[in-house]
Amino acid sequence: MNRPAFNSVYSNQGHNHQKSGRNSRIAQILFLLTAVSLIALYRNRPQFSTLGITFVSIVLEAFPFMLFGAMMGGFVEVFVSKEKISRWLPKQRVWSVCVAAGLGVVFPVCECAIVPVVRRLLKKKVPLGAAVAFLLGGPIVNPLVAASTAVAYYFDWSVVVYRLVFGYLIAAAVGLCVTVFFTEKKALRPDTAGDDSALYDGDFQESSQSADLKTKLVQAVGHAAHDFLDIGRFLVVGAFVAGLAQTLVPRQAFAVVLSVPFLSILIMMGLAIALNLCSEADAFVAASFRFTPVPLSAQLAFMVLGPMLDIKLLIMYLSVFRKRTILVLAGLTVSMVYLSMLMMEVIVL
Amino acid sequence: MNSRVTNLFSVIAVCLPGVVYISWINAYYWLLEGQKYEAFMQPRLWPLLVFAMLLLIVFVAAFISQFSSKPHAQTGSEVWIRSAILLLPLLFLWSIYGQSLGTHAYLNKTLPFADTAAVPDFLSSRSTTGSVADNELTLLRLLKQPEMFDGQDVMVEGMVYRDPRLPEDTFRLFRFAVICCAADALPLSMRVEGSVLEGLSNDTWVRVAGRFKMKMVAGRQIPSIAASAVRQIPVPPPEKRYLFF
Repeated sequence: MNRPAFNSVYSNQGHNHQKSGRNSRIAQILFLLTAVSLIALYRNRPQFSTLGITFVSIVLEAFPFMLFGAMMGGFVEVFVSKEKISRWLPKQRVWSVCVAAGLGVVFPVCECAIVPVVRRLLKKKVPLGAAVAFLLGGPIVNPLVAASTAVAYYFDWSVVVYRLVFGYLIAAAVGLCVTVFFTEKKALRPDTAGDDSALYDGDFQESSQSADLKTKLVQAVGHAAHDFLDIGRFLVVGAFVAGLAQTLVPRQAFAVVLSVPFLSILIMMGLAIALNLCSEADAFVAASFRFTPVPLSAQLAFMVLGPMLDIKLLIMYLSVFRKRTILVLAGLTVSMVYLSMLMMEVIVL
Repeated sequence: MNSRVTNLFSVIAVCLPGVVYISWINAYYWLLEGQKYEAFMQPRLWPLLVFAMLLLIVFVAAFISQFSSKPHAQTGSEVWIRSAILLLPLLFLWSIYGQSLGTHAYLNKTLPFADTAAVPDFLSSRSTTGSVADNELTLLRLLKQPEMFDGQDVMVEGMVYRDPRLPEDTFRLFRFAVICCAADALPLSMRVEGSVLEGLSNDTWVRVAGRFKMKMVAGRQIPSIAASAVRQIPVPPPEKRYLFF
């Protein structure tokens, strides 16, 4: 019997994860109560307008991309076998990371769409380092981002090249580091690391071998729908926190230090994390700093870090990785972006 | 009795994913009808909403086709929480529709040197849309080509911010320009001097007529209007309040 993908993943959580599951449920309930209380108590305050409009705007813009990513992930799950993936990727881990960091060139996806795709790829046993390199590099090293950056910077191609090259190098470097520091089992959530056939769909593996196209399509949509339900909530929570950050933290608070390169790089990285902009839109916001004391290195830090790591992505990563992995991933990415931009400021600019 | 209630909750829980999809389809349809989405995002992005709606319709079709074959459907608290979180943006959407970014967002998004410095050059490379009559200008157009309008009589609409650092007869006229969605809205503003209506408060929508000029203040070119008339106007509908790159 071909069982759909909507349902059964949670019932298979092991006993060891019951406690964290309970904590997670409590956190989600608290989140819901807080959000609903804000509507009830502060609906007519200007701060609520800023929060609500920012939150809703991010979700409205991101959901179509996430749905697309979920659909791509569903099709990867059903139509691309583990054997095919291992045939396509280079055997050596270093090379597979290097190839994956640049895959966005042929598979352009934004940061919201890429999370469900990467989750599916990991379930298909794509090496962890390669998956991380694609996760971080895909939303930057792609033609759409190159085009939007070129337009935003009035076809100053050097900015485009800097952004794509740094994006690629940092994604590959973090991917390699993750390969060294973690095994799949230690890095991933159990439902991402585990064998899909056992955890997810029961009899899917054997059924998919012989299923006809129609059944496979229904299965792919089932997987996509499940991913939307599962990852979508992380996106919602992330967008809400981003809305709060935009509401509570005035940008003027950073103004004094924005002209000092080593501080302005940090501040612009903080802004990238807090603002949660789409990787196709962030160049326009970065370009608005062009005729200000904010140096180009800081503008680049904003454009390189944002698609790799912002509040909404950090929370979405919870659907794929363990918390410790996310901490290491975030630490590595932030440090590498900071150091590379600092070096650029000193050596190149 | 208890088992009946439990069964009822189980049936509802099984249906919840469908409720989420249909609610979102409804929301996208509502946003597309009458272009209400322009209160949140760039008009050019409407195909994204249609695309999302179509994908959700496919999800509903798959959900219905597989409904009878779900012996292990999740019915615990997790499914309720997850569905509630996914429906939360819709609750905000219908609570917030009609409101817009105002002085609070303007102050939060403005940098001291950014609101008076030269307009970023990418502005001049992009066409703009806005909600003004033919004989009027948008703040965006004015700031895009200030040299073209320097010394000319102009008429422009926007919201009021009474900056306490400015003289009594001066205020800032501002609007937000959106690139993709309201989260990336950039505040655009200029000084309006003279002929200020008494009791003009923050966030009031006004139409300003006067002479546009670039003034040199503390070594910076600052766009400003010497107003001959400032008239309060009705608040535009939510989908007409932003300017779009």
